[in-house]
Amino acid sequence: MDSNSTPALSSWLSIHTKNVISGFLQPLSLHPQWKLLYIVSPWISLFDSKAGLSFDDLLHRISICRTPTFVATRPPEHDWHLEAVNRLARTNRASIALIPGLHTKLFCAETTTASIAMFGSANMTSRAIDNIEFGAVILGQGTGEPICRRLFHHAAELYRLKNRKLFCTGQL
Amino acid sequence: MSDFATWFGLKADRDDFHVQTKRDFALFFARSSIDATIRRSIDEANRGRNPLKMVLFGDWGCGKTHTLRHLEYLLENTSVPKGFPVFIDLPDVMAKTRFNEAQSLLLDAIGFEKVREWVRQYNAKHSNAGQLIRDFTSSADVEKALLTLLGYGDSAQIAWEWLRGQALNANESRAVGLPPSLTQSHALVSVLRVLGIMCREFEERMLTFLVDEADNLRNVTDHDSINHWRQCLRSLSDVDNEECGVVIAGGFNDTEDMPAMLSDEQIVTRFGQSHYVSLQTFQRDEAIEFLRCLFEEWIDDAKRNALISSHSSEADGEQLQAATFPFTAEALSKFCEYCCRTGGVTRPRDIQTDLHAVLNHAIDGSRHVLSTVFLNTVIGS
Repeated sequence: MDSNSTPALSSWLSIHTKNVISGFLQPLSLHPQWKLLYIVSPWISLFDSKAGLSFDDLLHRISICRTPTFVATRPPEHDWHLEAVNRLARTNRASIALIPGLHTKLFCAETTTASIAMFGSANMTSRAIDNIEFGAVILGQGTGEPICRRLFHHAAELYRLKNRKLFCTGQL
Repeated sequence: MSDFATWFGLKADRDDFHVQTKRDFALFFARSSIDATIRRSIDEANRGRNPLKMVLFGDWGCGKTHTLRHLEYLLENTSVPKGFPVFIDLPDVMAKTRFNEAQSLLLDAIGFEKVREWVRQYNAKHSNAGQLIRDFTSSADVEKALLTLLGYGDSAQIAWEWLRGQALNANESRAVGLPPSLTQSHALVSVLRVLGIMCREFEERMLTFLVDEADNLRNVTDHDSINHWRQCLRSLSDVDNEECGVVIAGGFNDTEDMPAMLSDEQIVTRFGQSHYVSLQTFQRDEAIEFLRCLFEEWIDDAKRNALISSHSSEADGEQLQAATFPFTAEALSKFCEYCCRTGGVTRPRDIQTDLHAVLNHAIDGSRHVLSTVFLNTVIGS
């Protein structure tokens, strides 16, 4: 068992309290082909591979898989946030919406073999790796399938919030 | 918020283009040949009064659960006589999990009260009900457990647990006069089959068990447990079982990819090769048909007409028909080529994922209509 997670509550649900982001990125890293990615995180920073996948590797996988990536984040006020947003934009696959006051943390990925979603308290930042946070990871199988679907739908709604400003649009 | 429903004129009860298996089971897009196979199998089963026995398999995302739900819909609504489908998801099984796990879910899905009512009616109709049950099941214990369901208090619940394949403690076992557990494969399946008899007598329907997520059987690695599943599935799929149907669905690429209890030669022979139905991926033309059906079913006619008339300039001079909206005819064809970019084939799930992404881009680009000109700007190299 991963020391950062409780025993899986079922085949489709696990709860994470430390290094929460790895609960999403680590299983995602095992899937070869990413089809769609949503990152809803008020703050985003670079992070290392302790998160299950480093920020560089995340960008690399988005690029080589040509993954349509939809990002909702707050307008960057710090250099570290702006750098992460700029680097996501440079993959040419990320569409980024800047949403003042965004609070939700929700991450969804569709690969050729699985759907994975995570929601909780953790931002996609290096600080969240060490913080005590909460994250529920849902796999889109069995009972988890409609829940995962709903979370994808919710991520899409957040990406398109009315008060957003589009920072960039990527390509498919 | 610019939501899909408003932007593309979806019907009031739709909020995006995802097909939901539990709600859209009546719909079965671009799978006419499999639909025909399933309908024919149901008809054949009804003609011969033999229960339906089938294995549905295919890659992840190819629509197994949807197909199983569609089959459930057909049994409940169009089959003559109607079937009595009982749907379960096979849960997380462990290395040593036996068929008892499925037995408990199947009985729970039918329900304690329903089973008790069947037994009550059977007992009222047949003066020698106990003898009939004992003769059919070859088990005085199964007879006793079923008839104990008619009692009150704890005894009925204890008997129910036993029939579900759960182990009883010594006090419970003594209280109802049953062995500590129902473990023999023949006896377990005989419970399901005798319920099939009662279902046919009192519901005038064929009891049919639909088991999804059979991929989980791969987790069973203990030799004795695999054998237990194999024996139970063999009994259920056997031609001698005229009382209840069984349809199993799982994420397998082919029969060799299936867990031992499903790929076993004796099981394959019993289900019949032709009843192992592979859900193939879509090619470009099927992807187009799938999307046309989806748009027709999901988009509100009046809203579509209003959007077409107010945004026709976004078609960039291409042919814009109601049947392909929100795409132009040329753009739909191009989009389906994009969906099938990995080897010319794709799965329903892939199409919906790609559609979700491209429609997001359309909203970002303030487009209600997607032309090839627009697609060329969003589909990167």
